[in-house]
Amino acid sequence: MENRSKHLLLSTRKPRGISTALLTGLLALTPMGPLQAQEGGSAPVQVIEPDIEPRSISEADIDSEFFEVGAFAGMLTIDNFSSEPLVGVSAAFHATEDFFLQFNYGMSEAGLTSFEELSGANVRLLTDDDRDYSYYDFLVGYNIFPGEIFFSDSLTFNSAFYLVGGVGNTEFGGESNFTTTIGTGFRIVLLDWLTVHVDFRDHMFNSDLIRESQLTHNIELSSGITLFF
Amino acid sequence: MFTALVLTAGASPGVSQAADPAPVLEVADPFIELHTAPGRGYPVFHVIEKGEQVELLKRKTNWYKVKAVSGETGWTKATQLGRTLQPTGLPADLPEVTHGQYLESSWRVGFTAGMFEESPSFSLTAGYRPLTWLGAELEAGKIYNESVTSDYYGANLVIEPLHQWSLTPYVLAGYSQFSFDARQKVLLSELGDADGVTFGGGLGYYIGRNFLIRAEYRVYSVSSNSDSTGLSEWKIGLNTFF
Repeated sequence: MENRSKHLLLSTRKPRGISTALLTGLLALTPMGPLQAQEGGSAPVQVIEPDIEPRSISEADIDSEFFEVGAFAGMLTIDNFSSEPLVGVSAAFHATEDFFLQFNYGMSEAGLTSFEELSGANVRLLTDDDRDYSYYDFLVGYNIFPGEIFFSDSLTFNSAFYLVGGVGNTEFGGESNFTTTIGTGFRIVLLDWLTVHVDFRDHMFNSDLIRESQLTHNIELSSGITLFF
Repeated sequence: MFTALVLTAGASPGVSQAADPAPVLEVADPFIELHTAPGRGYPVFHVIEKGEQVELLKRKTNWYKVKAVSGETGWTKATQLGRTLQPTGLPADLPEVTHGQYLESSWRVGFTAGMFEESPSFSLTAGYRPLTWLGAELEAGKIYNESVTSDYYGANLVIEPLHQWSLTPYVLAGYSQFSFDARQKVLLSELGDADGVTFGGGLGYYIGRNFLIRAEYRVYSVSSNSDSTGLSEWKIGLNTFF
């Protein structure tokens, strides 16, 4: 608390470039202080008020990178249906070096079940609209193995292997389904602000679309890039 | 190029941050270690000794990217850099890393997962805390019953007066609105809305500087068609704040 009030008392409204420039001037002046005090026994001491104000550092002065947004594409294997292309967007907030929160939205479209394939063109369990598959989820991530990868002697990138888990919603077959998602991923930090990642995820929900209610596993394998800002 | 753009975007109105020189600090610890990347697993490749100056370049999670006078650029942990001096000789007022100040004027976002009676539920929350002991929170969620899916929206007041322990207890009171969607349209055609008041409490645990886990129990008094039902919900929430 003491620091905070000091900060308030001492903070400056002046342009900061000037104060730093003048600081060098102040440093040059400091040795004169004791000198003056010594010779001025009775003479009035002239106090020179420095024309600078102390500068303190606040969070806003520092460029911080907590947020990450990106897009991904891959394959989604829809349980009982087929494997189809998947596209999506993601956003993440990196709270500490270990933990992050992530939001994902992805969409795909289911193909035919084996039963439909075998039964011919006039047997369809779902309408085309109901074959749209979309999900969103909120995941918490943990960077379990941070490290570095070496492409060559001179080319090194930071990387991390992470685990994610969370909950979300899946729209499929005209129904909303409570979905639990777990997965792993690997991230390579190409630049401070650019990363590329590969993810493996299992989206699990109970579905009675085809038969008795059962837990379906919908496996996603995807890759994408994200930007930090 | 990208970094420069972001700097300008992040600047407070009236202050041209891109023109500002990076903040400079003097090392007060015997030494600070420079890692190759923001993470404790990354190797230390340089140390900056006491009395030397460092330039603060950027921040990523709880790490700062700094530049030594000799030109080396690396990452150092916020707790180490917290013990540095400004050019004026005063301790640097870097963002605090103590527990009590997590609770001051923070925006927070997060999500929860839980069980509403027998049905799984999740929600997305956004909150603001104007006072250290009082905050407000908006919530949007979904409940998945076997025959009905419900969307709900709510607003809660969160009272968190005790901060001295690492587990922070809180109570909440709020109002929620529910709408229902039948899974089998043939069985249930029209379902009305309902609203209810919420009372609950829980425990919060802070991990790092801006990560909060909450465990919560709530009771709802839901009224629809002049009928009132008592329902309960357990949930676990994960929040980050800034």
